[in-house]
Amino acid sequence: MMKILKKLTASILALAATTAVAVSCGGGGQSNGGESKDTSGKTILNVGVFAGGLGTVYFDEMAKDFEEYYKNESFEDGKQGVSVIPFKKKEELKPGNLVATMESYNNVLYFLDQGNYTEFASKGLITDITETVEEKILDENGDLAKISGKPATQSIKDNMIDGYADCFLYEGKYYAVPFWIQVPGIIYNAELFDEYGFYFKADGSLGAKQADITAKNCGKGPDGKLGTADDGLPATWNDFVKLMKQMVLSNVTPFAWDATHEYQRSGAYTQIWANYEGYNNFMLNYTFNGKDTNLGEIDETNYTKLAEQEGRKAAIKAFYDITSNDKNYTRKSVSGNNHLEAQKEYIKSVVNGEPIAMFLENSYWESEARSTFNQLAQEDESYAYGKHDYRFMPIPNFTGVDGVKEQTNTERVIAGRGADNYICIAANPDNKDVAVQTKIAKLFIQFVQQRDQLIKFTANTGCFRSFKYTPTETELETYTKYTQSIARYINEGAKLTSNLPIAKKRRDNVSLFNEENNAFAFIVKTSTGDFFDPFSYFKYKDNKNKTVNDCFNEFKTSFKETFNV
Amino acid sequence: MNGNKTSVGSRIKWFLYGLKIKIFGGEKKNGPTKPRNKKAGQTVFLFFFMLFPVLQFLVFYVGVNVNSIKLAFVKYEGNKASFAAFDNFDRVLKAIFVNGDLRLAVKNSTIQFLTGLLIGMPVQIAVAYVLFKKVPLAGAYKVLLFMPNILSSLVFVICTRVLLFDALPTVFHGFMVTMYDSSSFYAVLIFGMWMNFAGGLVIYLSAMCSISKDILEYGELENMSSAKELWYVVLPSIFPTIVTYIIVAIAGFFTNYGHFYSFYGASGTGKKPFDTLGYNFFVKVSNSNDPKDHTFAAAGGVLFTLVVAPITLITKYLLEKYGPSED
Repeated sequence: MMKILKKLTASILALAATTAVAVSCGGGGQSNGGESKDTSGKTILNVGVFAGGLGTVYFDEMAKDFEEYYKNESFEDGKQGVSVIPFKKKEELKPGNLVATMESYNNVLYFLDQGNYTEFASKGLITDITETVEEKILDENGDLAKISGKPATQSIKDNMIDGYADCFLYEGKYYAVPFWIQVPGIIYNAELFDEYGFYFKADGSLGAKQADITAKNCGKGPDGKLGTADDGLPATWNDFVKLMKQMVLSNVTPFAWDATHEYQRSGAYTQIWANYEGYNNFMLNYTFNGKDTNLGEIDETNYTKLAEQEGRKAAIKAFYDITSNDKNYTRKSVSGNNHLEAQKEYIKSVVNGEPIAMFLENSYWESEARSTFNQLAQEDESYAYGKHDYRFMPIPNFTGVDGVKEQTNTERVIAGRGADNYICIAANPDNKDVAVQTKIAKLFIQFVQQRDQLIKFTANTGCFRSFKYTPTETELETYTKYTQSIARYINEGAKLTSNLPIAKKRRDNVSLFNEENNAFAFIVKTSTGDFFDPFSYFKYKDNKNKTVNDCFNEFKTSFKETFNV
Repeated sequence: MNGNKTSVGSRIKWFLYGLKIKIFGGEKKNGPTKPRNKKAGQTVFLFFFMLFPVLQFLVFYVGVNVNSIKLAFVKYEGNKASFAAFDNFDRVLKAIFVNGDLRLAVKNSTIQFLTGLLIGMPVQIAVAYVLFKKVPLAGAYKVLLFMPNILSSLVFVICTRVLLFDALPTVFHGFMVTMYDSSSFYAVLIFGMWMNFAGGLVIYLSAMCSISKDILEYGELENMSSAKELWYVVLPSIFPTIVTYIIVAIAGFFTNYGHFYSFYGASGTGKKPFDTLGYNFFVKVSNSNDPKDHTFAAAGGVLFTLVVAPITLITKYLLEKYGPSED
């Protein structure tokens, strides 16, 4: 009996183990993230959507609108309408992985977050879409001409932000369409500023509230004009330092950020640098072609001179001042918060009695933090996504700041990042309907190019499509308050830059000029590792007594050593 | 013509029948099965049983490592791969000995290794011995000490992060684990020792339980103290187990990434005070899209194997030759 029992137990265990192996060996195939859809009678379009910080809510809206628009159109015999099936993944759609696996997926259209699309084009992985990009489909307002009925005078190419049309050409053809730009920087809680009186009065003292700003009884802000988005905000860096001190005295922590990654701090650094230099001087860092107002002619043989730009020193000074007092940032900003934890810490600070005034992040942060907003909204609807009054902080001017040359640029600049993302069509997907899906994919690319869709994208993500479009006041109301603040800043004249690799040297050395670590903005090499933002540099135990000049000099040495190619 | 067709068919039939007889033996209704056929049957069974793991080994160990060795000799310029000779090896060696990119990682890996060997292992043996002596509540201690191995380590990572970054700084003002000094390294190192504690404890304890009673009685007869019994009786008896752990620790010197990735993720691209060789290479492979990082990691893997393989073999030989034994 025991023998039979043993045999039986052993057989069951063996079967369980075999089943487990068989299940794990089973082909995972593609799933659409658990979403089920009724596709009967409709032509399918398979789309790969990078599911990163941007989220995928924007894509669901695009797909819904596209399906609605083409619901009566027949692309195949016996079928009517289109059903868009998204494949929403992150790791699988990173360029390093996708370049090896693209041909095994059935996705025809791709919305990708990062990577050098020329690598895909050179390997024949993506389709030539020059015709789609150059076809005149938009009217003078940027609407689809076939919808508005007006003459089609613009193509996708015509509507691109300056620099993109040339940068996205590969061997004379277009293989991808630019996707989006995001704006990193300082985010502030306007409701908290109002509550604590953190706005500046006309006499330069703190204590003004939103009512004073509305009454124009406040400081003029960095642009020196009343009645603009930066009224009441610190006009100079010295004002900003004063503001931080007041925050600490009021038991409000000035800053929170991600401790484990540098890119948010590096983004804020870039904003300060760009705003100090002005549009033309700053863009030289991407074009390597033109004249710097202080450094003279810059070209591909002497671009390392750009290390001398005083805007970099101003940004280093800014972080030196922030680092100088431990109370200027939360404990978790140095101990181990990742980006999601930092977002949670900042958002929940409004309710947990430990207020935090400002945050360093990329402009898609609200979209990325939706789950945290939704959680808070369960207790109070006013904390729901897009409801709280967060705003983009225009960078103060560096005038009268010790150790930094007087800023002469008065032009407002917003440094955009993320120019290396794109929309493309796979050339050889594992898809039996590739011909019809390619046709529909091209229509999809054109469809999301219309003005309404560009506005909707920004409303859903906090980022901007890389095209020329200005929202009306009514359209601005569909954005979150944070995104509205950026859009208004641009509407008031701030110039948006992008980190496009315009210079040939940048395009020929993609991994060296890699924008992920933003080393071209800041790098200090040491014997035990590199620093990619000044906060890390000053915070490191060996650098506690270093000065701004020490940091700037070490940066210049490391920069020239790294980028002299 | 029909005759020819039949003879071909019957030839096949008889061939298969003959094969069956050779493997399984003839059908004997009343006689015992021949041992030769039983052995053949066992051989067939073992063949099919081992087929999957062997294939898996060939693909995922041999194949992957051959590919990795090949990658160590490749360089990429843009999208083009070409033969790199020893360039990648040169980069690794420079990173360790010249420009110092890996200097901190080597230092931290050494600390990690020595801590495990000189603190972790003796503590595990000592606690295992205490439990082996059947102190009161030994069973309960076993369960408590083994708890970290029952739950997923990530659960403990999450709890420890809250403890380190929230609870302890609130209770003890001035306590801070930061990403900018070695506290981020030592905090996770101590956590790792605690997490690995149970695994070693169980192995040493079971090794002690399998010590021959005769040898233990010798200790009792000689009226040895616990310390002497541990040193003269128990340690020599479990020395083969200790040797195994030492060899595994040496082999893992270059690859052990501890719990740093669980705590800090890939953590950007800048300087990390908690960098170890294992963590550094793991992040290069898992998080980088730059082919240069992959070729660097491949070359590093080959170099580290060339260093650690002879050290492991020599250490094993020396420990087995000169180490204590039951005799």
